[in-house]
Amino acid sequence: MATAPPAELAAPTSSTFEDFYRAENPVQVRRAALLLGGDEAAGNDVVHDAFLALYQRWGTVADPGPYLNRSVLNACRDRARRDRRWRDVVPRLAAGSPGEGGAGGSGADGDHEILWDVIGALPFNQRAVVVLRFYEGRTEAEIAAALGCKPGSVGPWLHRALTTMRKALR
Amino acid sequence: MTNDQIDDEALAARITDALHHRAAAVAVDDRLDSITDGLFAPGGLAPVHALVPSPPGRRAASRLVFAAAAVLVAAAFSLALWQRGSQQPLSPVSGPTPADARIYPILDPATLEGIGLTPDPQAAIQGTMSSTTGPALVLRRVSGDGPGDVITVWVASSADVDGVGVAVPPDGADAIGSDHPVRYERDVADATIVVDGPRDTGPTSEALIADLTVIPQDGELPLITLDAAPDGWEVLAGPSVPTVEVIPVLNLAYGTGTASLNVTRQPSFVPQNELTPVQVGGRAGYLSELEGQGFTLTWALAEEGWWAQMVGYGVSRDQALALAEGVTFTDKAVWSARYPASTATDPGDLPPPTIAQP
Repeated sequence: MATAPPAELAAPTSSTFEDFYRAENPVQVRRAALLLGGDEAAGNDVVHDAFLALYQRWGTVADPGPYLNRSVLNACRDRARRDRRWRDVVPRLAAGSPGEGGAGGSGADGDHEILWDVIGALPFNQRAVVVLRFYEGRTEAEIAAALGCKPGSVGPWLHRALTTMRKALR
Repeated sequence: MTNDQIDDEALAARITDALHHRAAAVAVDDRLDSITDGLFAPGGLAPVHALVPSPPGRRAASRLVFAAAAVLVAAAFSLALWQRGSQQPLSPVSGPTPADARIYPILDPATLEGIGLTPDPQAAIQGTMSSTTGPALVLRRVSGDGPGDVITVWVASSADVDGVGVAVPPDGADAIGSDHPVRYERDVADATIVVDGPRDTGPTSEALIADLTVIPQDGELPLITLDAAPDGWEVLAGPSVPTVEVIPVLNLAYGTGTASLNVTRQPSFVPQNELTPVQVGGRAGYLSELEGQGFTLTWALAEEGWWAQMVGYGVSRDQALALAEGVTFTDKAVWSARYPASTATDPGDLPPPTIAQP
């Protein structure tokens, strides 16, 4: 005869989790894709895995928002590290095929592509700071907390990223 | 408004525009069932979540903690200052940070305003626990005796590494300034080997990290061995067992910049020429300038063998000293009560769940 699990071991409240998922998933996927150099599939994968881990702990996590943020950022960092190794071996592949997201075009689209190419090529920490600062509008302290680094690291990373982008736009 | 400010604002607007343009094109997979269905047993039974806490020591060793950056910088800095000629080995200190020792930093927010720093309204002062990774190998230039004559090899859990403030691009190019080290990383299993060296030792550091033999350890950081020191270098300490110690960190945010303060256990400490001796709370301290951006201040605590180090950007020399003077050190219980949210949002603090189907 089946017995009901103890209350503290109850399954996640799916409606609550679903609400959270519906609200957070698009935000997290878009940010993860930006953090991963525009890799849409990888962004979806990373966020899916983070939600999966969160679902398993749903009800034990006091504040799922920051938890999810940290999980996704950590996963993006790990993935970027692996991708960096791959790029070291096959740099041409990582650069994309000719004509795909290149620096061509004109007007706003051309500007976006040039900037995006530079952002996508930044080291992970610099790219993350750029995304969190200019896409999400976070403060340096918030960025440091999100990335798990000291606040003093954010400024130099941002400065180096902007220097790189400024050079690219000359 | 200067031309640089105009340029910065224009560039920021273009970056923001480009990012939003790119993000809008991302297709989002929103199939919730791909998450929930996989965890339910056939027949629609709900999963049972049994939380199994990890042993505290193991969690501390493996957890990826907030400000490893500051800690590694501090440790590298401290190693560079180690007394030459001392017979005391540089083996890492192991063991938990004592909860009753008065080494946990607290700063009154009024101190910031009192010395002309405008506190960040969102997060002026945050206390966190961080981990410090002991060095596994230290080499010294045979002909050298200064801070720029030491190469340090670290073994760290992978996610401890990326937050390091002095991180440089993969090509080893110097990122911040001539006095900062080059770093090379080698990923092994769940860990990363990091070689820090002075700027002119790029090729040596690069060769060193390639030559190290890595011995995996089940569930622990791997060990490393080295057949022979590179030409012109000698092994000063190690290879030794890498250790991780969890220590408190205080992060400060104010209008002109940020600062990070951490404590570190160092039994020996001798200043070099480029450091300015100072007094902090009547105890020995050393000050160095961060290339016009701020100051690093290291000083001895009342607890024997413990030192505090503050890396502060956007502060003057006097402000750095005043900040250090304003810090008080207490025990862990008091500190934790003061900064109760320090680890609440860290996923690593949660025990790993195991799932059993009924």
